[in-house]
Amino acid sequence: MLPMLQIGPLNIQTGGLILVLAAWLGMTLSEKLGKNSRVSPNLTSDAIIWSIGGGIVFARLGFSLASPNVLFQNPLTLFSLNTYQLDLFSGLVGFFLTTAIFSSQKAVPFRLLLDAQTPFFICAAVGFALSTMASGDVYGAPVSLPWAVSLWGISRHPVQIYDLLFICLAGYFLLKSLSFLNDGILRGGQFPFLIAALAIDQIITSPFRGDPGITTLAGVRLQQIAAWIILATVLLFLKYWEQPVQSDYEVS
Amino acid sequence: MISSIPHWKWISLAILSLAAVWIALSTILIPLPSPSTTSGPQIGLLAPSIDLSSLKNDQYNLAQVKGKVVLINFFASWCPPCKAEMPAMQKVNSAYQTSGLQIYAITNLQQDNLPDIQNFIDASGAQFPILLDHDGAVFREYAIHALPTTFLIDSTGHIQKIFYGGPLTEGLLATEIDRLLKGR
Repeated sequence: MLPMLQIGPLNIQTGGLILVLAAWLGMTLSEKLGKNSRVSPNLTSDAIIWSIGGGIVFARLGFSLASPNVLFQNPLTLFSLNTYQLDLFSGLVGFFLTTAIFSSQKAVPFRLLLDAQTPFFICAAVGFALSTMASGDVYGAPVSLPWAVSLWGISRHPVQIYDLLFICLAGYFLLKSLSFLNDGILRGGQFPFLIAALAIDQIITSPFRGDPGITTLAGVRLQQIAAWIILATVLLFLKYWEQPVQSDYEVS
Repeated sequence: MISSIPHWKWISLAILSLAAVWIALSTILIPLPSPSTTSGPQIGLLAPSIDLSSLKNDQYNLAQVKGKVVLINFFASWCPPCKAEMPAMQKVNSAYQTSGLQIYAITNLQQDNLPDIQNFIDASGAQFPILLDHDGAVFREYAIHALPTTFLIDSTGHIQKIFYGGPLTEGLLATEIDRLLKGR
């Protein structure tokens, strides 16, 4: 675990640094590979920048709505640089809402824009997994496996490594398919494929986690149920999502 | 396109069925996570024990405050964000002390000195125990790499929140403390 990174006199949160690097790498890859989704690199990077902005605004608003005391005590905290005052779920809603508005403004189909952004999402997912590994927020349950890792004095399941490997594998397959399959099987289905892969990852790895991030109800892990519903939705609606790309949609 | 793969409907059903079987098996065979019985400087684990003396030479430890929500603030007198967040600490101390909150502020004497600490307390008006880590052992136990670092510990002794850096605001602290006090 390396929650803080000391560079000279500076102490930087490792998780935050990893996320920033992942976002930069993701944007670069999206610009490079996005053209295979028939969206120009400039449009792709503009969409990502606007969506990140929208995500941050929503993350702060979501936190403020959930914790109004913070806002009432000092309204200026709305503009604070404190990353603890961000709500992840609201941020994701803000990101996709902004992408939807951007796609409508630029007359580019939403699904094509999401496909063009998929390399960014892959890097973000890998960055998030690395970030939680560095901060120690996700860790395995105590086990006596030969391949267990020793954390805080006891052997724990290396679930965070499983998680990272699964996402890297799914991401690698997607990126490879993007780079050489111009009319490949993932045309129009890149984003849903990634969501399905992330859902499968959650279904498989959640039971091995020992951190308090796992929510249970009546003996069932809610993360697994939520992931199964997401997976079912993606598989059910995939054929509606994957439609032939019209040349009219091409943006240069 | 994926959905045009032959028998896609059946492949989808097979994937969903396998996932459902794994959910059922893992629910039955793999125990749900239980509150940790081991200590460590991480959310979900028991807070490492402390046994330190204060500036007034009183002895403090976590066992004394069992059943209370505990806020441990690691600071140094020379650290500007530590100084900036002390008024917020004192305000939540005044507001929640009677509701079951205990605040300990800890400084490492290997990188601080008594006159500066006393000046720091006088300037900040802190009325909660200021504890002295003479050899840095508690700083090492809590893996303190940055100042300030603040731990929020629930009434069962488990770490629920870690704030790296500061200054923390009164509103943010009050929100998190409220949540823990309600969960007691």
